[in-house]
Amino acid sequence: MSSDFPARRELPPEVRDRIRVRFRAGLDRPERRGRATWFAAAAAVVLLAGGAVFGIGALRGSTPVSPAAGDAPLDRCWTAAEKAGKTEGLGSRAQWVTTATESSGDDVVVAFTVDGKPAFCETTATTVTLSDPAAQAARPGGQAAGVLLFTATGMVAGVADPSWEQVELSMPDGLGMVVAKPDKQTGQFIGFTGADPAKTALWLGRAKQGQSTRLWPRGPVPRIADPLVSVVDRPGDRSSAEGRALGECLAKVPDPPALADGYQPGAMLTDGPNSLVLARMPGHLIACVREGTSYRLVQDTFLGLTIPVRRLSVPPIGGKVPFVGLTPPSAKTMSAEFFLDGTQTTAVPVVRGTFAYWVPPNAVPQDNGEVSVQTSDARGVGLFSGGIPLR
Amino acid sequence: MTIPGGIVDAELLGRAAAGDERAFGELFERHMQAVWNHAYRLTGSWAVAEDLTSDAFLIAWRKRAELKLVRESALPWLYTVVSNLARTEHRGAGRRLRLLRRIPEPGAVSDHADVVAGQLDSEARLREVLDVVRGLPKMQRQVVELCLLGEVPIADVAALLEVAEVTVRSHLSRARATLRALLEEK
Repeated sequence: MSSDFPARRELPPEVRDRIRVRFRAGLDRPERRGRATWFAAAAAVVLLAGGAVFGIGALRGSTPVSPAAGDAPLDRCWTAAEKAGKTEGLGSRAQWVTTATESSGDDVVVAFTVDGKPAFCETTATTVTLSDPAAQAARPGGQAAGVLLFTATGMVAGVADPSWEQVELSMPDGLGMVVAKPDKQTGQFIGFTGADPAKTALWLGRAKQGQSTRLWPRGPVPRIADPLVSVVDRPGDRSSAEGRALGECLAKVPDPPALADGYQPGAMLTDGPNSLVLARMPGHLIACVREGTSYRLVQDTFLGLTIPVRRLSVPPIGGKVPFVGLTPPSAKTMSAEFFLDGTQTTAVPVVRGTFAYWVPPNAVPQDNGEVSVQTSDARGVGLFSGGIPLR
Repeated sequence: MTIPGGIVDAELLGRAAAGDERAFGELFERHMQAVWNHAYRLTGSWAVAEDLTSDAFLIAWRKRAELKLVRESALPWLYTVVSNLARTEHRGAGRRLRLLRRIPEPGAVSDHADVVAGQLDSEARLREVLDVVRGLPKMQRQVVELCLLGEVPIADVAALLEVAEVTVRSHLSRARATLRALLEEK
């Protein structure tokens, strides 16, 4: 019977590379914490072997920050609470004691205590979200841990029994697991899940380092208390051409995103009465589309930090296909190879970590359905070289 | 699984579950070739095998905390993941179309016509066998996929499926008889 089966083959290096790249591209689910940094190293080796030197600067995970560095974000949180008239129950700023700070890109989360009660504040480039110290942690039945904050960026913060070595945060099906480490004194933990709180039922359980199977049961996290403060304290640009177009479009879409004013405008496409403008927030990329007199929003699934350049799929606008997406924030230039009669290398505009270009009519994808792109920073240093889907 | 001079899967997996991505990367590099070959045997397409291999490791990465080791090897578990993916792949009409698009056209490689003809014959034969395997009862199909296609030892298959070795042998024997009969009809 086994003679019916083909002999095993040596895996060719180029196939190995393609599998690595596909794996990396598939890591677009939650699980941001230092995700697949080994993969970046492998990819770097591949690129070096090809004679090119590229850094994968966008591959950042959760990073501990020294408690002292948490003062500036906490000052901002206090100011936001003052402006919102929500300082009752927050004591005085001087009473806030920082216990830990974690960051993911420009998403900075400070764990602190107010009169011994645990609290968290998340700041991004444009927003502040502060948990309510008076709120009860949303605790799954039978678990000695609960959640106090689950923000639009996918950040989850809560409190666990300090004897717990780790807290496992996951989806109902067990996927998208993120492991957070509670503070040994206060039990406070912070995890960047990358999950969308509007669409995700969060599960929580105890874990420990080195476990190869689940040792403790998980449980669904019940409804989490609303944050005490959730504001855009540093509104995104609305004065540039892209900013004006974004502001106008977001005001007219039927389903504007949460904290819409906090989105920073990116690259834009126009075609007569039609336009598309991209915008970013930590964890989010959106395209606001105007087609004649109608407006609509296209939202990505959560951004994968391991994918430095990624396309956002937007349906054709007035018959033209937008080729849009995100780049590392430091990217300044992008070139893309479209197949027409022959290969045509095109400069694709890059603005604030986004790119936008109308797909040339008659362009076809490469055999693997992708377009080869290269992005560089202002100094011309390559940031990414690879394929992204055209279809 | 122990690699000479290396670290066993169990240890790598333990480290990966604790957040050590490099440990998972080592597992990935270690088993990629075997998983890719197994995926080919399950689909008859090297192109689809590539996709399934990356998908299988994505699942492994996400389920690393509950990945089941058999005699300290992650490979049998990875094989079952690939088998599940291959069945999903087979069921998906869109994927089938993609598979068809990816099958090389003989004319495109006419310089190696004999080799290609032989390869296509072999692939056609493999797909014929796979069609029959897919029609087997679940347990028989699983043991065929693991024992015959994956060449996993019977004892390991028994451990993975949590049944007695004699049960695996029995299913395998029945599956062989069915396959032989059905393939002779073709």
